[in-house]
Amino acid sequence: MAFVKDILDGTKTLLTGMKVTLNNFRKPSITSKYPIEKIEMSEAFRNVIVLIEKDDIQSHDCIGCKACERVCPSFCIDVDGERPEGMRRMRATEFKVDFALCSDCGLCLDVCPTDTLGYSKIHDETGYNRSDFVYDLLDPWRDAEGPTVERLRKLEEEQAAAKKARTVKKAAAKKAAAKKAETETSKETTEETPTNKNDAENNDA
Amino acid sequence: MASRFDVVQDAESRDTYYLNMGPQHPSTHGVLRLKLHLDGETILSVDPVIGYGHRAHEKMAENRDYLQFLPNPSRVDYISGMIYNIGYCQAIERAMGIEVPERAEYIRVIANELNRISSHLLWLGTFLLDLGAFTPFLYAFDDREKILDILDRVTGSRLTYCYGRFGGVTLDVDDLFLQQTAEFCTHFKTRFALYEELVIDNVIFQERTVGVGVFEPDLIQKYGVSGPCLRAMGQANDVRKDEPYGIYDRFDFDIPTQMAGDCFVRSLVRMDEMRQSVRIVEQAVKDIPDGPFIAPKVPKRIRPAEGEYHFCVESARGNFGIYIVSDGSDIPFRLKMRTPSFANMATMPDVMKGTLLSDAVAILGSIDIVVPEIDR
Amino acid sequence: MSLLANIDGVRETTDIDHSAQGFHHLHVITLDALVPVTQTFFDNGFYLEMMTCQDRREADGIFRLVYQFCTMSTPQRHLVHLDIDPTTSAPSIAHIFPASDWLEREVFDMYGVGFDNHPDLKRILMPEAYPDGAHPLLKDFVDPESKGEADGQSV
Repeated sequence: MAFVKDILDGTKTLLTGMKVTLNNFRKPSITSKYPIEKIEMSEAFRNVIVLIEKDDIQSHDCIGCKACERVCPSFCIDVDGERPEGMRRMRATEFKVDFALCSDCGLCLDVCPTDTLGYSKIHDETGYNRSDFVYDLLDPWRDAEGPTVERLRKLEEEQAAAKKARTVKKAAAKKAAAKKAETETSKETTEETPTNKNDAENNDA
Repeated sequence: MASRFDVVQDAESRDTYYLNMGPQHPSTHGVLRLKLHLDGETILSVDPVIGYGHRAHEKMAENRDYLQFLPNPSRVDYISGMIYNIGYCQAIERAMGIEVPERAEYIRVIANELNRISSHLLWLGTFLLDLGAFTPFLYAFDDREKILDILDRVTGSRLTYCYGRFGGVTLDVDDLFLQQTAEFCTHFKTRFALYEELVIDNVIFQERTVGVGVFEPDLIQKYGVSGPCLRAMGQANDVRKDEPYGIYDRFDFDIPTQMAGDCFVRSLVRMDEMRQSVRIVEQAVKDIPDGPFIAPKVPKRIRPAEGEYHFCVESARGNFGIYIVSDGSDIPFRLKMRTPSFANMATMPDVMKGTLLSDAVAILGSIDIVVPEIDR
Repeated sequence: MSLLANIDGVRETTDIDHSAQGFHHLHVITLDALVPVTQTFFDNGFYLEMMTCQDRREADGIFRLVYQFCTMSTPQRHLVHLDIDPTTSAPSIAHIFPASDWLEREVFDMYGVGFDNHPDLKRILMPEAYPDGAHPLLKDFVDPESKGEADGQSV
């Protein structure tokens, strides 16, 4: 009898399993036929990093400070910067990242002082050699670098001039205010002199 | 060792042979080699050979400062990578005395518990694949994909998270994340009935796992077993309750235990743990406050005071401990990771003796090891 | 800690603030106290949670072996420091705690510390054919199989 019970138990389990699978047969498929159907990467997707354009200067803002190079755990960033003539702000001259080593930790984005690093949505980089994965992040910006530096230099000069003008204006205003205060106090003393004189006369008397 | 078959007493006089369950094997859950000494199908002894996945994480820790080591703990156990990453952050925060804002603590709890559920789902799929059931694998992965999509949207990663930072988390979560999480919890609670029907009540599954791979009670003290393997032996020990870290003491959840200590009840314990994790996530989503997601003043240089620090968290596999020796500089003097799979795997020569080869596959699957965690 | 009060060779015992450092007691012991101390912990229901080593040859000229014992419920964590000369070997405790079988093999593999009466002391993480005398976690270690790249350099 146990033998027959075993068969019945087995059959029941089999039918339960088939019922579950048949139920799921009716549900829509969730597979996407990549690469025919492209998948949207999420907002925070982490992979290849790029330099982002900053609106106020219409270019990237990498100053070559090497903060990202120092913090990278995989030692895959190589940055160099220099100070163009007549400018206070530095500009990056070289920015190479080896994405074969990058571990997508996001620390370089965290420490960037100008917030000019960001993630791109590139997820399908391919190559034949390991050296194919060394990307030059300044490549899209190199053509416009000359005019950009000129524009930034002019901007800096304008800002310096504006600052100087403000300082001069502030000093002049301060001077004017001090002079005004001085004339007012002298006016008060001249106005008060008759009464003082009276008091003096009274006191004397 | 209790077994259903008589162990050969005089192995020398019988025809015994050595079988290699090699490093490349679909059932060993990683690159693990088992040198088996067999008599027919009965295992006389098993000698695990590990080290195929050794990546020198502890040596890397001695060449990088504390912030640069952040991506590494996730790679040690990549299936519950969020728990390891945030656990390392919490270890350094305790050593440095950094306060974490409330919202960040709640975000961490939600992320940890979602990661625990996804780890158990992966275990469920692969364990049943070892036993020969191909269907539940993709069902479990269907649910797991939902979790991965939710976490991918806010962290940017699906598997090896580097989401925690000292003092909080990298990016804030928005209302859509909380809404998706709540919807997932509601949906997932309906799936337990499916898994019960398809897997737990299945006669073949029960035949293969009930009474197989029983852990004797003295193994706990001899090897330091932890995690679901321990809770399936009747001990209600969980780091989240014994030594609460973060804000786990505010949540209302139970520690599921079973008494038998065999493969079947280890599966039951993991199913129950998923239920408890869903409970925690629902409470956290309801109570999460507004506020900053990272501490406003985190020291620029992380330099714990000279001395030793130990911190443990409950990962999906058991008690994960980080032991840091600091000499007052930017770089750790010694960083040791005590991984639960190392201790659980060490019990295998004792437990597998006298079992059949097919039972050995079931036992290895049921203790839920991740071999890179053993090798680091 | 009164647990180890009657054993010779226990040099000092400190109580530690658990909320700051994560463990409760620190014991510094000598070589001949290791086996009695371990037996005491076993008899009192502790398990061996972790065992590791620190390479302190530059500062103090020693290897420091660190053993960590813990109880199951209401965890009480005891750290035991054993300083040994780099050329001597330590007694094995694998006959008391079988967990230390693999842990001692790992310390041997990574630091070259020998353990007397160990059931099978051989490399565990590095390949079997890795050269003798090359122990990776030593501070002055140079990989004999390296091709000259620094850590993190691409080929």
